[in-house]
Amino acid sequence: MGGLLLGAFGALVLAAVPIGFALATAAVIAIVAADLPLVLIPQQIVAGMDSFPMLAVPLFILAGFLMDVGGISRRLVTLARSLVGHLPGGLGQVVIMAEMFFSGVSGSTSADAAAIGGIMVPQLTANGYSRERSTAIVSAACGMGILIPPAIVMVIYGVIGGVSIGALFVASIAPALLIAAGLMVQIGWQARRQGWPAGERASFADVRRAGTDALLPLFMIVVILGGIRFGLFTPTEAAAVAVAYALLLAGPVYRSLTARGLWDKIVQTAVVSGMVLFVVGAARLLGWVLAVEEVPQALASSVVGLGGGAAGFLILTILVFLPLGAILEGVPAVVMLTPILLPIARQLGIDPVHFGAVIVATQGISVFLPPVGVSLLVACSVGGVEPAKVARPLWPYLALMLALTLVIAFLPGVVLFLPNLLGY
Amino acid sequence: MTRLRAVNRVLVAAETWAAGALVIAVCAVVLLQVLMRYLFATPNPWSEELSRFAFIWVSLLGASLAVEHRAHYGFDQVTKKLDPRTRKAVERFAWAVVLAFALLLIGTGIALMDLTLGERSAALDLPIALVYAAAPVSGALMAIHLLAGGAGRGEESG
Repeated sequence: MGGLLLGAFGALVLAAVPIGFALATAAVIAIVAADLPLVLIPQQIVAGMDSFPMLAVPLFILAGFLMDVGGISRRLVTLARSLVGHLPGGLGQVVIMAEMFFSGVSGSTSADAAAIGGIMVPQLTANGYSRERSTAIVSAACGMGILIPPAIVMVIYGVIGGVSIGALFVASIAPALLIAAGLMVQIGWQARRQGWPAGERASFADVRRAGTDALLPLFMIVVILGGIRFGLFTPTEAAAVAVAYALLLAGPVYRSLTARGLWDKIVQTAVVSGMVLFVVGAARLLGWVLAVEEVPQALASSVVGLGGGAAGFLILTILVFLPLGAILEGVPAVVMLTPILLPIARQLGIDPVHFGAVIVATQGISVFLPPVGVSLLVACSVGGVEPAKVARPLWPYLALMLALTLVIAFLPGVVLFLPNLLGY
Repeated sequence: MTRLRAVNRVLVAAETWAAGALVIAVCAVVLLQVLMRYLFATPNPWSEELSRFAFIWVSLLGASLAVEHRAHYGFDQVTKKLDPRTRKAVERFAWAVVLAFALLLIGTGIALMDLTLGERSAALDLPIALVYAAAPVSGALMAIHLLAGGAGRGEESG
């Protein structure tokens, strides 16, 4: 049964049936075959959507949309430029640093690629970087940025897996810094070898001015993480507070939000919620049917039977996520695989928070995997280049990110040290 | 056909308006929940349930809007490379699969409402069928969007 359903799902996805509908159709086949009642279909889809923690998803998306208007991304780029613009490969370094800041206020990788790429690709190309190189650097930066809280996939992993979202947010900070530092060293090394230009060192006054300008946007991440950690609010409430904060900044403070613009962002939020939650609902439906057929148990015992223990399983997880994330997009991949893989991880003694960080880091690489990674396609359309041509400059960055993801996978302490310190 | 398109336009406008209004409601209710707790020290018994129900409606209306906007997550890298005739046939097939599921959602959704008729929610005492109604409504909207758009528009890309 499991094999037949997998085949049906795969064939439907290849025929460009949307992922959620492909999942739902596979579930319908299973329901009919097992002679289960059809009312399970709406019941399980609605049950998948009926979750207060999941509400954090649309709210963080809306907050990110609102932070994106009103030149907030430009303020963050200016700050990054004043901090690292003078290093070898200065502008490349700026992209990584700016994405670290921007990811802290936004929740979605494709939105990051559009926002940061939109500002940085013209600046990079004006300073002698090729379009391909510029797009590759933006892609690598955004693949790293997925780890910086608040990330939508992390909320989804936490809700589906029953893992503390606050702990996940904090746990992914160190891996994000590690990968960002790795990319910056790599860009610096490439810059020295190939003679890319460095910018001028900003004066202290410039840094201070840029810092002051970016202070209010960056304070949002402090409100979110601090508020959750000190129990002031739940992650969902934190997301609503973030919306109010972003609205205040974009509206009265920066005066860059029109009523029309606000309404467009609200409608966009509804559509993205529909895209995400339809997959969640359909995956829940299929998961319910598979559980009746005891497919996950069979899968778990055969995976555990493979041997290799926790280390082997982490490598297997990374190998499964890379192609699936590229083909299905990050959110659907996490929605589908978490309920299958997380119980096995627990059984093997892997900490669920650590496992989540490994999955999210892998997923950040996968969505930029040439030639089909969805976020790569977004970055390429922003950069105005063919995906096939970006692959060459992009591979070394992705290889480094993968190597560092393996480091994260095999040294749980890197991930767990911060949440343990903060008492999660 | 033009009549169906006109109907579709009106429905999309109403759907967009309703989904947007519900997003605002969800934000407002969750914020209110925080405010009530700190300002008045009274946890609010109905806000969580209300925001969850509104969110179910947002998700299902968003899902039907995503059909209209062809925004659903999907993988079109293989179909894009097919020759035009095969591609058209595959797109028509994908369109039919989505339509069939939309129709199934209408029928099974109504059946589910019928089953739960009498059940009421814990905090707000609302009929549960009102929440489940989002499923057949979403299915009907999806079906109309698909029929008005035609099979040529069947392929969805994310």
